[in-house]
Amino acid sequence: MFRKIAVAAGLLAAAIAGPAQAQDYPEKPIEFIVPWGPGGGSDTLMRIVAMGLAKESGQAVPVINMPGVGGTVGLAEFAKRPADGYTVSQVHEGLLIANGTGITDLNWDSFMPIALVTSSPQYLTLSKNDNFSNFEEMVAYAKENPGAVRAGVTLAGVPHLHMAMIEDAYGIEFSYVGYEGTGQRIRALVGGNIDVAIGDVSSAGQFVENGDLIFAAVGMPERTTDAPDVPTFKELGHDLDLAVTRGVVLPKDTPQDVADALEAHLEKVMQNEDVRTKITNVGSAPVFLGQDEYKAYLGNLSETVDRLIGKLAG
Amino acid sequence: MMSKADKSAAAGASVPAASRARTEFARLISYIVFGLGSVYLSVRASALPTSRWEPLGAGSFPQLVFAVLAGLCLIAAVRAVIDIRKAGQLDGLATALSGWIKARRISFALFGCLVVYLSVMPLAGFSLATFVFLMIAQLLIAGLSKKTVVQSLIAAVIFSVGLNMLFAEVFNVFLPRGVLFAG
Amino acid sequence: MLDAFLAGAHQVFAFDTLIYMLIGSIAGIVAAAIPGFTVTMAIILTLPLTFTMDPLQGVSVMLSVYVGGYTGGLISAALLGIPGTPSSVATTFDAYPMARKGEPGRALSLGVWSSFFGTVISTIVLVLAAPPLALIAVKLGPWEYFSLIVFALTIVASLVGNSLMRGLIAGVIGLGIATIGPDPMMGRPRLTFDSDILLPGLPFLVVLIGIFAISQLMSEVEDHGKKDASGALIPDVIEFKTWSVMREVLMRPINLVRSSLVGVFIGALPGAGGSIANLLAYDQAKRSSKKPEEFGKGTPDGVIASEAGNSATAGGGLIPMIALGIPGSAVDAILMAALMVHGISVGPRLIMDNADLAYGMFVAMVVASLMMLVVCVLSMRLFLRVTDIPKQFIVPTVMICCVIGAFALNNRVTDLYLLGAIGLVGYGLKSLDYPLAPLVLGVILGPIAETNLRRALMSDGDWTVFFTRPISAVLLAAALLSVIFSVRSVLKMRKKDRPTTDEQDGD
Repeated sequence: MFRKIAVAAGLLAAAIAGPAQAQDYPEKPIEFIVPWGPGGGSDTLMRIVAMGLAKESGQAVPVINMPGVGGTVGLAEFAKRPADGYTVSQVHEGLLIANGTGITDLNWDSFMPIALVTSSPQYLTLSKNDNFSNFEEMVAYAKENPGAVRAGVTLAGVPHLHMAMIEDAYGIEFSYVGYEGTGQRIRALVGGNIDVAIGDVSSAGQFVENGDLIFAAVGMPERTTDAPDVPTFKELGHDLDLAVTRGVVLPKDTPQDVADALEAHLEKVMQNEDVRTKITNVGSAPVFLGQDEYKAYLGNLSETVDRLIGKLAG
Repeated sequence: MMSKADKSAAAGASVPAASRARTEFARLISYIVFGLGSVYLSVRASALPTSRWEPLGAGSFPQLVFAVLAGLCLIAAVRAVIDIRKAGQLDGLATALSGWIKARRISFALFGCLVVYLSVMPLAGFSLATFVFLMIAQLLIAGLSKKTVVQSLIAAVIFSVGLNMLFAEVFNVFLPRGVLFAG
Repeated sequence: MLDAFLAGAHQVFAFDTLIYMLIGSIAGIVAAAIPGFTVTMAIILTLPLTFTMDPLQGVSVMLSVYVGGYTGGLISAALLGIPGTPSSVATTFDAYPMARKGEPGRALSLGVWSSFFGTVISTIVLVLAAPPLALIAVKLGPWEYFSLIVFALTIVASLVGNSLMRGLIAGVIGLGIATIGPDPMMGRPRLTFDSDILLPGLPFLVVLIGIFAISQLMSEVEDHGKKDASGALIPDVIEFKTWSVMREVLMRPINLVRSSLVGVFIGALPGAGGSIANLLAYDQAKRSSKKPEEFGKGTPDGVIASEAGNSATAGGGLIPMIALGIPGSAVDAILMAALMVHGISVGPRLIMDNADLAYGMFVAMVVASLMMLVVCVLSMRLFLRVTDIPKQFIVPTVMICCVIGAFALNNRVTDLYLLGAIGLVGYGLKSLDYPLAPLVLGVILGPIAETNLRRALMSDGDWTVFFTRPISAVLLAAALLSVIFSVRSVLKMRKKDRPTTDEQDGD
């Protein structure tokens, strides 16, 4: 019943708002629904993007956190909002996995992808231990002792997918321990309660610098400037792309001219030096893929997820 | 602990004993409700799928918790029954209940308003729903007179439209908007 | 080190920083004083403002909101009997009865001073012992966490009120409530009956507001035939005795220091927090008191323990953050994000690479606690005016604040329906004389216990690890001792007070 009311609300609001005129867009504040809690990676990055968008478009872009059930609660609410360009949201790999494991019916194509804006390179991170200290040693050890290497992941989450990709490529087998969020995993890794985990520069960089943790490999096509000594998976034999990529989406059926206008604004936002610096500061990389490229990217990603989803389902 | 009840009751008058028995009866009902509910939930939890990643599945912990709850409720219920039988004066339940509700009529009326308020909020929007709720609730508590109506009106406007504006304009927190009234 | 300290202090003592901090302090106190509004919410609201400030300035402002917020919860706890924030549940046990007995000014003063000393003590520990404490905290695995929670669960015995049985039932109901919603490991729904309302689970804050605030507000308007002339909640003349109360707090150094250290320790453990510290400090004070029967009736020791305990988590939470770059709570995570946006990487090298910032944060903590003290002492009379406002205004408007708080937490309308339902259940439980604090404790601890139990068994399928890891074994032994102690004191109390302590009737 509530859903019906909400849908009715959406229709009515859309009717009152009338057809949006692209040249005027945006003429009132744009609400940015971040389907994750405050303080996390998505929240921090999207606040930076929202700030840039506000400056670029001249309208306020308030961030609204709607966390719950792996980002699906906020996206479900977002899907019910009027498709007029005044509510935007964010998706990343997590949505594709949540769809694959049956947690939600929503998928990336339930929305209108506008632009990919940030890409956070993920590193395979090792704890200091007696059995291995680099990638090859870890693979060799894991092959000799299947299941002996404890990997910290968010079960049925993005890190789990990344670990499954590594397992799949190198023919090894981890045993999994469930943690919520990168911060918790890195803590467990530093404390020696797990052996490997997926980490990033912002949460694990200083531990690596300090010698407490080891970056074994990075899931990018090329070595990163943050950690130039860390080899890529490509150098290690398999071309794996392990990144968390975040993009801005609109509700499905938003008028094309509004979508184009937003895309143009975001393109300028991503060229803004201040925005780029801040995104780099929090350990991610500013990128820009427009609507068509972003759609193609998500389509590719979707194939990878579908191929490996069987390895994640509990 | 509850066995103390009858000792002092035996020494005192029969009225407190009856009242105690009635209170204990009301609690007995709550034990039974919680007990049956937890048995049901425990069974539901045991049917949850297990996972291949871990020895304990999603259902193990809730199953355990609700089983313990069912056990506790059973013990409490048995003790309550013993107490009631010892006190032995379970009469006047209906009068007691109506007296109990009468003393709390405003509480329940207030809660009723809250329920109506929350359920119309998605339709009417925060400002309008809050305004009506505040007016009714304040007059419910204070009674109807010229003075209370004026006072309530002022308070209702401040806390409905005022709060909504404060949150939307200053904090960028958008309270639920309605179909009928977007504010 | 001295250079860095002076550089940091210099930045904090800049005029505009101090003004912003003062505003932050007031905002934190006010937000926390309103039931339903939390410190986390206040910090999120200040976050965008700090993006444009210098890193240390921004963090100092957030810290003053943080410190103010840990005190503000005391105000509604003492005056309305409703915890203003999750961290002031135990504060209601003694501060509210004290206020009701006609000493609201003393209750507030006690809480404010205890909060002040708690924050200062925690800052001292933070400065002196952050790195070693942080290393201990990070070494703790799921086994230790689980055992710690088992120990914390035994404090239910201190919170049961009139009946141990109903206290236990309430506690287990709390554990059960927390299992509804997405399974913490896999994220799959459980016991949600395919309902949109239950799907995201029952957020802790919504349970807290429903159980305490809604039920308390409903019972405020009960009509027992006795007409209260003024209609006010606390009808009495008010005395603050600020300085004599300060002496009163300092005359209880053991309680003060113990409660603060409990707060620091709990705060330093990532994932635990002010709400646990508040209850645990209260429990420890009650157990070691010579007159445990006075707890719950308005004893100063109860107020001191609960307020020093929760305020000390502010400094405690910064320990893993400053020493290792690991946030101790949601608020610390937001603080860290604010620093990172400014290009400061937070991690084990923070003290080395950005010493002025780290020392500046220590200075800011002390300044923030002083500001909190000044603001509270000066505005206490204003807060007490709340007690003069007639029920007809206060009950409905506080209800509105609860509704806003429950909504703004996750911006979910469905949370509001949960709030209503939980409020009714809370009122029913209260009427039947079930103690409510154990239920809340169950809701807080349940998910931590379950997650860590399952995580422990995923890390190592062997159950005996719980007994072979030393810290875990010590904590389990402490839990066992705690149960034995409680059973003994319950038996003793029963024998001693048999004829007098009758169960209260729910009339």
